[in-house]
Amino acid sequence: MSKDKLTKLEKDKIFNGELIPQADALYNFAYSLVFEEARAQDLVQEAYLKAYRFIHSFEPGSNAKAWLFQILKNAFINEYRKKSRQPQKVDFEDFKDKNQLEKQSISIDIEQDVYTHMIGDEITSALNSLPVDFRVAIILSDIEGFTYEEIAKITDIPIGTVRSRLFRARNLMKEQLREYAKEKGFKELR
Amino acid sequence: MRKSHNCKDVVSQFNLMLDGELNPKEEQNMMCELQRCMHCLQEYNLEEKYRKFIQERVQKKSCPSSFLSSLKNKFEQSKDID
Ligand SMILES: [Zn+2]
Repeated sequence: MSKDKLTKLEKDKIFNGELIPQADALYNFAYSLVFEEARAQDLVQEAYLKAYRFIHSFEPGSNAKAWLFQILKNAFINEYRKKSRQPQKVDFEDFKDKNQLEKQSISIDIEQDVYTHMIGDEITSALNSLPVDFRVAIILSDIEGFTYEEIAKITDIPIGTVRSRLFRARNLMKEQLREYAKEKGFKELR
Repeated sequence: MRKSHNCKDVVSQFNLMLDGELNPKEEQNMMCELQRCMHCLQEYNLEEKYRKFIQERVQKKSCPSSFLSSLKNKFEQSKDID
């Protein structure tokens, strides 16, 4: 059977059985890129449309989630390019950090009182305040559990860059969390 | 003979371990290495806590059900979206 000639029934089976179950993760990813429900929905819909159109290139039983995330990331970049009036480059270009990377990683004692009492909202805002590349790295690795290889594919960067970007993203995240904790501790003292 | 202990290397290696990028043999070596140095062990415990914290506490958005059902409908009704 030629894979190019999947019947509508076969397509629907893959679509409903393997692709649709990823809708929540996909939507969460989309939302973390655009922070707007309507735009997140547009992105998800576009990703599913593309996936359906190219469904013959998907191997049933393979990694549907990574495949969909990659499609959605590309849709996001295209949308960004189309809509952006600014000439600046934001997207998944590697962030050139000024030899920050080799610095010691930042440890945070999560058992600190203020820190333990940090609520989900504050942690989510800390994550959302990171530049998009770093936010995405944390979401893909720490939240969605993708491997370096999958992240490299989704974000279209070399594996070595995934590793260094994650390291830097986590340090930035810890800095943010510490700032929040400090603010909160300060308030509680008064 | 054991290699000398380098804290910086260990930190970057245990990050790989927490990311699931080491094989079982490498993981085993890493765990031994961590027992050799209080500093590294502490860093490791903190990092592990931090990871868990992020996973448990960052809020996730779920796909709105009305949107999802309208999306499914779109695909079911279309004869062929090509
Ligand atoms: Zn050490």
